[in-house]
Amino acid sequence: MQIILNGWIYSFIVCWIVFFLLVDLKTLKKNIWAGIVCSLLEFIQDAFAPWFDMFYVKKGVIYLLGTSAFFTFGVAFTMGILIMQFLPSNRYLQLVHILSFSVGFVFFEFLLVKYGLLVEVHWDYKISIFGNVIIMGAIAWLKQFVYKYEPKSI
Amino acid sequence: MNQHLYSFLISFTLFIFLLDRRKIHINIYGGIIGAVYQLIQNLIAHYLNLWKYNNVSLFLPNSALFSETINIFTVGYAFTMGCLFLQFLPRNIYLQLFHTLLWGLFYYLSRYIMHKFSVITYIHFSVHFSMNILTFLFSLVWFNNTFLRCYKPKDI
Repeated sequence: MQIILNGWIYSFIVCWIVFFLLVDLKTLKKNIWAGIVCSLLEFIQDAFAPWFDMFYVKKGVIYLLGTSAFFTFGVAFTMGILIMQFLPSNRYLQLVHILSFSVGFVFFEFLLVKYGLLVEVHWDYKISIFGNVIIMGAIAWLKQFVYKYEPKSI
Repeated sequence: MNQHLYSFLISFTLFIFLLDRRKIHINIYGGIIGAVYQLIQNLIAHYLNLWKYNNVSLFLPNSALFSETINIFTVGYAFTMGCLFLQFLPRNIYLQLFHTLLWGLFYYLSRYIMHKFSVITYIHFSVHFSMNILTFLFSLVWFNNTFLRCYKPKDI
């Protein structure tokens, strides 16, 4: 029971349940690239952040350098796939989608800080909305890339 | 010579020589977004004590624009390079990938040179983390494809 109550494992389980409920298996082989890219970006950032005294992951159970494996293969991977899957085709809705996912992620980071799973020294969850918007924008481009987006007019 | 002023002047010279005047009304958004990004990044770095610029106000009057917090020179060359980045961005999506990776590498090299010559001191950050420019550049390409050039998607 104690292991389930660990925040990282809990977020891992919740994310995979949400993922299995919402995933579209037909486009999964394309959208999985977003999951891979998100995991990779998250890993690079969080694994080396403790080296520079930016922030520390606590109660990680299984650590991959500085980050918790339950985060890299949980939230980052599954939500990356869902972000790309649900990116709308209307460009203004794309903007709304990016902003809402960024705000959602800041709220998640706020919970991590509040419950002591993340200790931020030279970092601030309020500021990470800036980085989130930029990463979601890059995923929106990645969708254009993996869906072989071919421009017709300039 | 003030290194920040020097790099700004080089970027501005390139800008004047390579600029396509007929397309500037579109590409200027790349410059504006790039400058805003750089300014926000400088302010965040100052607030969180991630890195600091050295010699920004060397041989210059003591003004907030030349302070390490705002550093108008980095904002200036972010503007010129942002314009040129969008101007030379190809239409083909594979070439877009190549173009963006190349520009990201150049940005990283410029940061690496600044780091080597002690123009920038990384305190709670690493010069290798400056590769995070790639995420910004890709989101700028997305903005270009979706809002500025309005390419018609085949199936998205």
